[in-house]
Amino acid sequence: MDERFELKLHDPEYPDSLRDLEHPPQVLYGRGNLEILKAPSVSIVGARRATPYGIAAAKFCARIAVEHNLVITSGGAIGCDQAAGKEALLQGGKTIAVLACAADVVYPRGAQKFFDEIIHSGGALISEQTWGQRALPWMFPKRNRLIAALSQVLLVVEASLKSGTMSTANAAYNLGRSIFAVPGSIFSSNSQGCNQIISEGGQPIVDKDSLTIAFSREYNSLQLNQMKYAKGKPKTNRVLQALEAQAYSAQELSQSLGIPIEKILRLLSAYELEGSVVKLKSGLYSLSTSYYLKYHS
Amino acid sequence: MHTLRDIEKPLQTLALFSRRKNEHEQKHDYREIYGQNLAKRALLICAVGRHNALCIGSAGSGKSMLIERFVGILPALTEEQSIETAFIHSIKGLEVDEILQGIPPLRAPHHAIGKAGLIGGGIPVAPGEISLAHNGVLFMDEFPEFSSAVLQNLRQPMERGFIRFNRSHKSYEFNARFILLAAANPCPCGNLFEKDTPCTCKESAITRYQSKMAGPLLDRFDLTIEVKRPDSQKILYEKSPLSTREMKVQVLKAHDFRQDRKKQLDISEKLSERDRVLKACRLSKRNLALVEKLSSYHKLSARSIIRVLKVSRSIADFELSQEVLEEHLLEAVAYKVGF
Repeated sequence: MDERFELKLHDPEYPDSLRDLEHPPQVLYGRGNLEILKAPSVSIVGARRATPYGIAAAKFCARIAVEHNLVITSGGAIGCDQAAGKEALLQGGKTIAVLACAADVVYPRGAQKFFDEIIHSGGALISEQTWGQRALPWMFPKRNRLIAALSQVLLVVEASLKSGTMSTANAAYNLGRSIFAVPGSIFSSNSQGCNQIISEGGQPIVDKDSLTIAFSREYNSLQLNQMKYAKGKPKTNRVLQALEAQAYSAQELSQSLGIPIEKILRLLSAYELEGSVVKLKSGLYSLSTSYYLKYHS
Repeated sequence: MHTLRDIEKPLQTLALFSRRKNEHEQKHDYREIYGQNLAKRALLICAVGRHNALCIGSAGSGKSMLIERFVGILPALTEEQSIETAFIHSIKGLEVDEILQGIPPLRAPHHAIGKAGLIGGGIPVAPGEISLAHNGVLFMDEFPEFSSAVLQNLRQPMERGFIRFNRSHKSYEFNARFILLAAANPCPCGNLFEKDTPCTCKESAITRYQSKMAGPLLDRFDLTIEVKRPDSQKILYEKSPLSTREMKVQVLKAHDFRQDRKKQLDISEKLSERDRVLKACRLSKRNLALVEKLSSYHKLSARSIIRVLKVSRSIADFELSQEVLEEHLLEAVAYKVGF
């Protein structure tokens, strides 16, 4: 199923939302279901170099968006974008991926399966680049403005200052779109962009209720399934409590908590084995995505 | 290069450079290093089990300082070892005072060193850095900068503990049993572990760099030691950092315990390395199952499992435990090598 379509600016099927742009694409190239471009959608974006927190937040938000029958639009980039998109598919929702390269080129590498699934599930891959065009650096900011324009709401799950994600947020702001952001630790550089968005008036998404209410307000929609919070967290020990705030190195945990380093290493290894903690490439230990989701959704 | 003299001089200069560093070291104490409990702990384990370690940290994180002080916590050379080592050093005309006092040698060749300088050989045959490090430590700073071809030559001596050179009718054999401590940056820009300076490397570049870091010696390293620049605040609050003397006392206790334990082990049967290690660990059924779980989670290769077991055996020795227990296994896996 590889329906190709090309929508010109004056075509009736051309998404109205894109016409808000100062320079909307003259032609919109796409593969998949072009009807979906008319459905209400939310753009979920976030860092490429995501932390487990960012990934969990992306999945968390995507789930709720699917419950509200919203299409999830994103850039298809690794990290938060793909996490949101894949979660949407997992929950039976539909996704639009706006690509920097042409709609028939697979970038990033490894996204083939994901893109195929998007099309199979009734979603679409779109781009303003002509067929066969490979991704070049200047196409990414251009693409970001499409993501910002396409949906009523832009939801930023994790972003550092001066990132591609922030440029999408700026584009949304200039278009007058509603911007939601998931706050993060004030010590985490990965969340500084989100925190700044909130401090400048963006809608903070602090729990399931706040997102549900915000969606209902924006889209006048009803929630289809009631998801229950897990009843109470298990007694967490000091190491897990510390990690709830942010990722730490073993050395830091030992020093702040006053626990001998060997005990910290043993605890962390044990938590890794049970799936509550992961060790990041930066050498820091973080709570795992499944831990965040298990106790907060 | 035309004559022997052309080769000898740079070799001697390198040897001189290393020796001066050696003198410099003995005067320094681990007490001067703050906020590095993890590194100190890992080095203690290395000292007990004579493990090779790869120390990863950014420039200025303190990895060189930590490694330079390592010979200070090793058990003194036995009389036999002193004589063996002094002999090799005297061939190269180096001082032997400290060696005869029982202080293990520390050699720190520059990464531009050639094969002859590192392994030895040449005409006339002379011992290289690896032999000068016999019964001691070979410190290879900026490890990824060493020529891969040169590093390849380390594999055999590290396996066997000696290096052999064949010349027309004669065969020369030099001892080369040393502890290898290598230091490297965590990523191309060097800032991966640092909080204040963000890392500017692409994920794919990091993965590529890390997978090539240990080069031909990947399976020779038993531990990875991550060294991070300590938080300046934490430095001010650390009460009394572990000193060389305190560390050495712990190592000696563990060393004696380990020697006793080894004597009790029946080594009459010819066992494979894996079986030998398993026998020494004396794991309960439950802990064997734990090893399986850990191997599965961390996707350990057969060689990696053996290395983790060896390290856990050293940790158990450090804790003066006859059996390797759950906590020793959990700690060992935290130091695992490989990405």
